[in-house]
Amino acid sequence: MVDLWHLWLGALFLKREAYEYQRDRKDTFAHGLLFVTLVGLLTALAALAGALLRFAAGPNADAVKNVVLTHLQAMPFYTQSILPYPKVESQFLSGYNQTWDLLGSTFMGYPTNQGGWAALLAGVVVIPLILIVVWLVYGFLVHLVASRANPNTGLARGLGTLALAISPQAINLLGILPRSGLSVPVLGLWGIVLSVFAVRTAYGTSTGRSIWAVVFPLLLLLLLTAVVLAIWLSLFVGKGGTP
Amino acid sequence: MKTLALLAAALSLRDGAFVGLRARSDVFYRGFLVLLVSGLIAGAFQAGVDVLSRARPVGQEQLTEQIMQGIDQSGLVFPGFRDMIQGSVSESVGIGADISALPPQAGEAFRPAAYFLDWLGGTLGTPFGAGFSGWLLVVGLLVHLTSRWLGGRAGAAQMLGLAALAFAPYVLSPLAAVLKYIGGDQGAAGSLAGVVSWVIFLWALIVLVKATSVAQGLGIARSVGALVLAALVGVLLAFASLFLLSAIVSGVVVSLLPASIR
Repeated sequence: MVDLWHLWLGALFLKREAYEYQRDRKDTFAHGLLFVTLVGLLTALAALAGALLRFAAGPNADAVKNVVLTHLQAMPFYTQSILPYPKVESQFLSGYNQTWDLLGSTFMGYPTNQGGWAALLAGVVVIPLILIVVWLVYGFLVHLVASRANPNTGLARGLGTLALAISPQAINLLGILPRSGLSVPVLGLWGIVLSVFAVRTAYGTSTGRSIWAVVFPLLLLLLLTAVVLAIWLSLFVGKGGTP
Repeated sequence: MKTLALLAAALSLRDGAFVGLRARSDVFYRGFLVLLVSGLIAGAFQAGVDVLSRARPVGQEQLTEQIMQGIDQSGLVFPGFRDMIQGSVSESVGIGADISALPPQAGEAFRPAAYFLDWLGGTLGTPFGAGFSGWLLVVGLLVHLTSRWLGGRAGAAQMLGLAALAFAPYVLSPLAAVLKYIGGDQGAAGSLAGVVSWVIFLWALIVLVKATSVAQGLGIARSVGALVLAALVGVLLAFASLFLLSAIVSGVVVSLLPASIR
């Protein structure tokens, strides 16, 4: 555990020795898998503990929903433009309830229905699994680019070293506390910086090539998202209908 | 050098401290500790002010009036719509007030603990949030890039570790937070809070220039040039991202419109 703590700290703060240590281990892939699994588990447990704490420390979700609705119904736009028209009012209330069902748990910081709690509990298994799959797929794509510069580095070694780039996600542990204001983009950017360092160490490539290897899968993901969105729009929207 | 000593040395721009830090193998970690201390102090006071504001809220009418003054000063409101906007603002303020008054689900007796947890979360989260770590990574990496264009020779860890020292002046930001809490946005205390914030920001910029100069082995003039270039690159990137995003969104919106309107 002490070994993993020092490895995490070294990886987080770009200590060359940490990346070289991970790269040169005989069991680098297995160790990387353990690292990713532990970080995933910590993240999932923090999310669960945080939701429980917010549930205890925060107000009742239905009470909040009613407070917001009461004040919305007292606003001039409502009394003048919605209240006089029963059909419009009915649509407004239906939309309000749908929006609450969709976004209520985000607003409250804890699940507002049983399904949400079940998903949170399942997250203890699902989140580490997702992180492992992301690590494997992302690492494979990075390897495709980086190994062209240095074919001597195997996929296992590349993946093992790249596992350290997941280190910033452990900071999500602070998310147990309410109002911690952790930023997903900040942790993501930190992870990208660590990825570049990991690729440079594992494959012995230049910084420029390492950046390209790290960014390539992200661009691919962006492109795939755009293609899927375009196909969805053309299939379901067609000549201007609604989905 | 211990963290507090390094923080003090960063504030006084002591050469030896910057050079000594650059040479360390754990340069990023040591520099980050300075950011951590500043962030925790700044976060503790700001979170404390936030909790106090919620525990002892300003009157709803007073708060509505403050917001409406700001809106009136912006000059963006048509006279005929002012009453409607004021009504909406008043109800929005009411939402915040009524939600704050609702008891915690663990019971009213849990409220002090809830406030403490809010304060603790705000304190510990500040160094790792967008305002500290976020700015360190974005500004640190941009300046690193532009410094290399101008002949710099630091590694990323060295640049980030020394750039973290630029957050040392934020150890004084509690002063601005307390002044703002006492005096609000207007009045002498509020104006003084603004002045303090600007002084801290300028001090941080000066430390950043020094950090860049030592980390990259550049003169002060080139370091300033690297910062200016980094700002330009940052603005260009921001515009490019905004342009791309609006192109995608407008494309989606247009495709959703009925054909007769398009």
